[in-house]
Amino acid sequence: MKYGVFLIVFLIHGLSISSDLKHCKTASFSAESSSGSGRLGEMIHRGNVVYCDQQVAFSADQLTVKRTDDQRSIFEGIGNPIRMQQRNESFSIDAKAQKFSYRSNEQLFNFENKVEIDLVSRDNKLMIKSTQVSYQFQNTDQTLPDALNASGDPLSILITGENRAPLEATASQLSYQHQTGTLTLQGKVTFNQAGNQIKAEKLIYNSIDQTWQVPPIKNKRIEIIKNPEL
Amino acid sequence: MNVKRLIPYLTAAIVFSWAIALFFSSPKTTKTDPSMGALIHQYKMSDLSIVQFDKSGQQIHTIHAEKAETINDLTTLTAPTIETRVEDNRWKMSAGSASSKDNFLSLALAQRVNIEESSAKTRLSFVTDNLHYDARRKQLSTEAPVTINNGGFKLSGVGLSVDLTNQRYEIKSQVKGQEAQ
Repeated sequence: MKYGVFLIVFLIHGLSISSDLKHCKTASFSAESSSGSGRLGEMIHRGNVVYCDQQVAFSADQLTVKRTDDQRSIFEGIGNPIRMQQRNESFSIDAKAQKFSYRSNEQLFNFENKVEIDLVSRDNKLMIKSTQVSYQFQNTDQTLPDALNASGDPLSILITGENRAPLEATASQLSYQHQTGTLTLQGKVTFNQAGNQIKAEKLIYNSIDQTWQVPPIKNKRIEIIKNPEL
Repeated sequence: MNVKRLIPYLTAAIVFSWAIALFFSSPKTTKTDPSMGALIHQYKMSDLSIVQFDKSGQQIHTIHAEKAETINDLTTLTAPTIETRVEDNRWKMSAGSASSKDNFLSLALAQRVNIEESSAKTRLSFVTDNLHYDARRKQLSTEAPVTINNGGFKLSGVGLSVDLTNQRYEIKSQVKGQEAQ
């Protein structure tokens, strides 16, 4: 029954932010209107702004494109919400927020305000709700996630996948390394899975082998409540 | 035959012939408008080159054209090139034709209008079918489709306004852009 509720939440949440944005080979965009400043070296695009390139696609209500001295682009978007997507054969990421910045040469996104991230990889789905998230991806032939850092109050995480009980957690900071599958939670961590509950200051969870550890921190209590059914 | 009797007829014939010759040889560039009762002034020039200055002696722009024709207040230029400098930025406009009714303080450019801005930092270019150039306000505007190259992206849209003084431009609708190769 409880898994069914999670499944419904999973589907509703997934449908709400995963409608596809088109990817494209050459960096392209469309907008209702645009204004530019030769003096500032920037352009502001307004109204249903949609951008795509080989690595990402995103949409916003307003997008500012700044050119750096070395002719790189910095994108700053606002919207209610802005949306970002990355897709390849082994993973997908969907993000919603009210504000973002993207440095194309550094493969770095920063999302702010009402951030929701869905990262699907290795048959797992990691859902994050937070106020601030930075997302770094690898600049390889096939775009892959590198690291994801989030902070916020509240910061909530939900991990679902086949043959596993959903995992719910809250914390004030999160760090996720995609290659190792390591998820580090810090600051008033609560961790719930299949009726087991952990409260600690720091918790490290491995999403590949589904193991966790709580490193001891001086003067900080660790509270573990085991589900008696297991 | 009495010659004396023929003198009045000969005199009348000479005067009549002279009057007819005078009528057909009169200049045609000035004529009377029957409706307005005013003169129409018409001038035609080749390789026109004008430099205009404002009251303080500052240069407004230079205009070159292959041909120019003026009828009263309306001047039509063929293949005009207009250059103006605003602070450190040089703006150059060229078109297939242009017309002005106010002594070149504003011009309507048409046919393959090309605008280029160059400065030490930036390079902008615009292409459109028609454009209004307001030399007093240092502004450009059009409602026609336009393409823009700002160095990073090649943009297209409908409608454009450019503030030459502040180096600001606005595409009014239907904006599409693609990274310049």
